[in-house]
Amino acid sequence: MFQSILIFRNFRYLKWALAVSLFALISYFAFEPFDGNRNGGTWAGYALGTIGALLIVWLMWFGIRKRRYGGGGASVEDWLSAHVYLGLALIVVATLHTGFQFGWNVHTLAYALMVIVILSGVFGLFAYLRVPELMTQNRRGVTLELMMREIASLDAECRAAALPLGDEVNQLVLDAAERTKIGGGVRRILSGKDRNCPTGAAIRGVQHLAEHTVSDNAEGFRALLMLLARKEDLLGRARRDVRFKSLLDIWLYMHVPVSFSLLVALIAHIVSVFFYW
Amino acid sequence: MDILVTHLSRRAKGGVSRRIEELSVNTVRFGRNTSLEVYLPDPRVQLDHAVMLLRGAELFVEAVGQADIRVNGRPVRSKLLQTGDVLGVGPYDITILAPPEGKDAAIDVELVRPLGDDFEKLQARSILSLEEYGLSRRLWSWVGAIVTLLVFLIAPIMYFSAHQEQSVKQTAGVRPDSAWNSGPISGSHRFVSDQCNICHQEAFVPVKDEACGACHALTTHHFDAKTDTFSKVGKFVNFSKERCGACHKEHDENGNISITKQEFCIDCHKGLEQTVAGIDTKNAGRFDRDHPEFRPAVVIDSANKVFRRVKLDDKAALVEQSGLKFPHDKHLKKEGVRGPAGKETLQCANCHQLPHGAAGFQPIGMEGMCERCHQLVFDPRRPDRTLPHGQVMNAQLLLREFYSDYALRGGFEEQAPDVAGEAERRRPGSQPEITQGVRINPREWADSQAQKVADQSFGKIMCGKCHEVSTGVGLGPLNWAVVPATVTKTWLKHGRFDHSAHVDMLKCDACHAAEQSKSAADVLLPKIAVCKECHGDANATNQVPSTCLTCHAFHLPGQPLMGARERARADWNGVGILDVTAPAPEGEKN
Repeated sequence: MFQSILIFRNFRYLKWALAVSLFALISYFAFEPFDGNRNGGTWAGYALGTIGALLIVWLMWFGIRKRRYGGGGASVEDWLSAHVYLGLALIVVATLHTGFQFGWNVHTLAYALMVIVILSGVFGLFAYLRVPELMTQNRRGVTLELMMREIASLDAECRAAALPLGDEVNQLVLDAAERTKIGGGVRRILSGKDRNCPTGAAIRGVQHLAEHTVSDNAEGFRALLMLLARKEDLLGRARRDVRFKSLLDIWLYMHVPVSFSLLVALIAHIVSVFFYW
Repeated sequence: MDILVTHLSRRAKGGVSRRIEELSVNTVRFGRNTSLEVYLPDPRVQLDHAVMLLRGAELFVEAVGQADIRVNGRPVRSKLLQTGDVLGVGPYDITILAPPEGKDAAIDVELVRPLGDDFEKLQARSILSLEEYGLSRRLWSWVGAIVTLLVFLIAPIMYFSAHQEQSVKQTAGVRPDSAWNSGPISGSHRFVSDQCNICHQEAFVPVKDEACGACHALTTHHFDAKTDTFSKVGKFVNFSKERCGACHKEHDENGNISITKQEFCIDCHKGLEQTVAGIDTKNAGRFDRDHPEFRPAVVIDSANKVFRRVKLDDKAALVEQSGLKFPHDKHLKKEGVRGPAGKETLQCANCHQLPHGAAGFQPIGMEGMCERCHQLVFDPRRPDRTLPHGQVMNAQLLLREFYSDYALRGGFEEQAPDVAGEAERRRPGSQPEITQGVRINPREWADSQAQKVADQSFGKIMCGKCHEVSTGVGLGPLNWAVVPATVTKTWLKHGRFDHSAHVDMLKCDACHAAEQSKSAADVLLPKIAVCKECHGDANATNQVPSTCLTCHAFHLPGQPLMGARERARADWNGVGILDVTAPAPEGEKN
């Protein structure tokens, strides 16, 4: 489906975006101001600025349009495909509008916020093109809840297997069952890893104990380690699943809030330009 | 001892099931080890956790190793147990019962804190999405939008509303509206760069000319917009209707507040002769191709300082009538000229001197220049006495007084042959006796001497060596007069040429053929072709890029004031906003 967003209607919106970009380039190079200073204050600058501002408002309207199921007019696929391509064209329009003049001011702030929004959108686009496939491969037909249920039942099996194996082993297994978690902070969610995972620590600890203690229950150790290894494998998959889902989400935490800051900065930019004309 | 052990387990739907064991052992051991008397299969219990034993008729409990046990909730290492005590081993509660008949002890064993549902606990510990973690798009959208609104829109507007004063101040710190600054302020305006309202006086109104006029009150026009010649031409751009800001754009990163593109000038000047009938200004385009030949302003009437612009090609008309005679070639002879201290070779800079801190040359004059050699000595017997330059009446008086004095001191006698022996002879060494007859004769002699020098010697030969002298009855008391001299300060009236920018790389004769010039009537201005040897078009890469503004200015001296500056000038006090608001010194306040 997401591949189809790019080739949607035989690249109709790519063509629109190219047309807008071409128009911006022609306006920029065709009108050389007498003072030689190309910036947002020339006629070409005003034209490009107007187009850019309208594009931003229209692109943000997508957030409202996509929530209206069955709304009339173009389909959400049309909107999304156009949102992607015209959002990319906005970089061309807005950059030429700046005349490549930047500074520490509200004008460049608006531009920088716009770039952040667009780049996060590009990240989101690639995430939607790549991640679902990885997610399917990782899940092997199992949902995250099922994985977690299996992890829980493995915990019970591990505990049972550890009961006859000495207090240290027992404590490690108990910790692995009671303190292992999936996800957590932003970094753990996004990395899909837990360097301090109690289950990993239990495997290392039990292995160490199995090698360094004299025990008549080698079979018990082996059985426990196999259970723990299965649990760790499942944990890895569950964590990757959480990571993949968060990759489909994380860019929106940039894309959406920054776009609202952008909208306000854009208003401040336009007001300030004409306030101090 | 004989002990009755009852394992209680509660069912999910209520009710209790019991499993009863009867043991006859020495000690009752509790732990996770299956070989123990009371097997407690929970990971929170140690393999060997606690031991219960009978001492006489009393029942004791002891913890094994470091294991934790509690009796009635209190941690203990060992304790005498009474009926009704509750022994805590891990998640198990072991209640001491009154022993039934024939038994030494009886206990209930119950798992009171089961491990619970692993799945639910795992779910509770895990945070599976960013949203669950607490990231909120809505919250951050609001925060970002409100902060941006306050900092970049509300604060600047409030600051502008509260600070309308027009005085220039050194402000400390960052003003809220400085975030609106779209680019650096150009050099000479930078002193007000942190006070937006000095220029942006009214909201949503383009910078007014009055704001510029507060300082630039005397900026002149490009032409006189009121003259008929221009107002009749429809196509003509009437600059007086433009704001200053239409051409002068501030806040540009390149720091250039003026239009420097020559196309701006050429747009009108390429066809000016056709657009404005009868205009004296010639059509002009890019310098390397379409610039007309120079038309220096030469003197045609030195007495009345009348100039006429003559094209350099027009050899016949190109005659400077300055009233002076000055052959450059004789003065610049390689072998030198006679100077006051022998031979000396003159350089251009002996007379044409570039002053410090001013444009153009210092004026050339008799004083300190010509007079070093051309001293106005009028009597060979007294080479130390000279006439004042440029003051004919004074010179005449000086001559009379000189010769009168000379005669009175006896010099008259030595001139006896000139006055036909009318003087009385006297012995050498004695003072002359002044008689009535003698007194008259020296005075006549002095007058005639003065007249002779004035009339013949200095009148024609001395002044006339350098000046044009006209003779005729009634021209002054001596029937002759020096034609007033006018030296052209600059031949080019509309172009600026800075000699100081050229003299460090070019010799004077690279442009000026002074060594071949025999007459002061020569105009030694080089043709434009000489300039073009180095100066090219604005886009030249192998020459000095030269635009109109390299030599010309837009606001021309002598033109009327431009636009709103005429109004601003009415109440302009000569120093602009800087002085208007200068605070009075402390002591002067009332």
